[in-house]
Amino acid sequence: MTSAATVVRVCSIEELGIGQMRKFTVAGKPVLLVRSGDGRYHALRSICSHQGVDLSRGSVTGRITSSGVGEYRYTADFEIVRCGRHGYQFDVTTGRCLLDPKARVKIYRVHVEGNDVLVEVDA
Amino acid sequence: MTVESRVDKTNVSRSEIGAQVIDCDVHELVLSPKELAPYMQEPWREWSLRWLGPSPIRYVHPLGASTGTNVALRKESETPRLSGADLSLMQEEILDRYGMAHAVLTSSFFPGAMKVQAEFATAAASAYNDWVIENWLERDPRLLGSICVAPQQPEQAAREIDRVGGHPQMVQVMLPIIDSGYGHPSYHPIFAAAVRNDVAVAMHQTGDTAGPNGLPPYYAQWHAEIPLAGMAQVYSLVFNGVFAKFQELRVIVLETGFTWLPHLLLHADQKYKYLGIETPWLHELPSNTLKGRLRVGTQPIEEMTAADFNRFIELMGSEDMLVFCTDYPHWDSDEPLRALPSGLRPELRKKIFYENARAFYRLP
Repeated sequence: MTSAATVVRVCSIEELGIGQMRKFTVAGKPVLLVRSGDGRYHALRSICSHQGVDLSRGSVTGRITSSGVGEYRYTADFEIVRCGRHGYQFDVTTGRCLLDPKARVKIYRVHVEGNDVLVEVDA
Repeated sequence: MTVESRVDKTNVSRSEIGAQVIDCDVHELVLSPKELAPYMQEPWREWSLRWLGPSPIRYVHPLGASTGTNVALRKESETPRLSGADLSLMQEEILDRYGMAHAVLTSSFFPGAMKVQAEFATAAASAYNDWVIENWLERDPRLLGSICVAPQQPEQAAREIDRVGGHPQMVQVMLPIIDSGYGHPSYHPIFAAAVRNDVAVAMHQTGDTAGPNGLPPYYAQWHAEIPLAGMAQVYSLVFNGVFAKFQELRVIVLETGFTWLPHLLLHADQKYKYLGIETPWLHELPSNTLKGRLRVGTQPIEEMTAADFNRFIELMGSEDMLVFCTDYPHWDSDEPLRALPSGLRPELRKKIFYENARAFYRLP
């Protein structure tokens, strides 16, 4: 935890299932809490860096990859948040946009203490 | 008979153009399909004698230019020589006149645009290749060639590329811009063969090339819509993963102008960013792919100032994508001395007139 950070409890661990997301306001910032396929929690700024759409109106999804033209492979890792407007996809572990190398959203540290999920944001 | 020479005997010095020249779109003409008969085997040889030829222009040309061929007569007593059908005239009118390092022959012969009798189209394409090698390429080392294929039969087209792709002056496969997107997997053998033989793939309009609404009522509208057909083929290659599958593939689009290119680069990137989950075989922004592997001919260039031209270059984000083309001998061919606006940076002129094509075609 950094000295200038604010840590806020946002929910209990039972309140968010695998593949779900929920928006909170933490120290005045819109924060999207996401639970990925491996059970971990991730927090990111809930504003799409493309045109400012609220990411909580989108979806948590898996990763689509391909080994060749016409082939699709879906991995249900639920590590992707997809904007509900233009489809920008962000990796919740890094905040990076999958298809636009210039786009990314800020991610926040998440702490799990007992049954509580806490999000750490800069002051 | 009116005798009027269109041949200016005064050669142009390199300093006037500001660069060496590689002309990437020069049409040598098959005046009659019968010319190809000696290069065909039966049963196709007999057919070729009765053939009217592939893909004629559908319109009466408003200016009277049939296929754009100019008649050049210097003396009334001379036998008419047709630009594009006469090597010595081509040498006078462009190769020698502009001191061209190379001219890429692109023909106006596109059996690949035929919608019927695919086997005959394949035979005609093969005959053309032998004809152009014997009558053009082997008579002037400055000439570079385009391998004619009939994409209606992709496997046979690939075999034809293998047959003549090793000729040292063959630099590309010519695909006519048709109403079928070349991104379809059925065409993969053609791109595989091009890569295997280290030749590029060119795309060029034919008399059958149609706009998004088919053949429009007026020639001017048809001519205006041709770039749309070229753009559609580029999109087809991008989104169907042809560039992704064939990492060494190089593509050039000819005779569509180039001012659409900044739009396409931006537009393709936007669709990739929004909808890339549908095409997961694409692993980078289309503009990145295209800047490295797509080249576009300048002709027919719209009139513009140097400042406007530079804006297009800036919007493209690359000085490497444009190659100079005259489109000799067609009615709307561009004049090397005057087509590009004056005032362009010398380095940019050198790239467009020479360096970009030299690099693209991997010339010494």
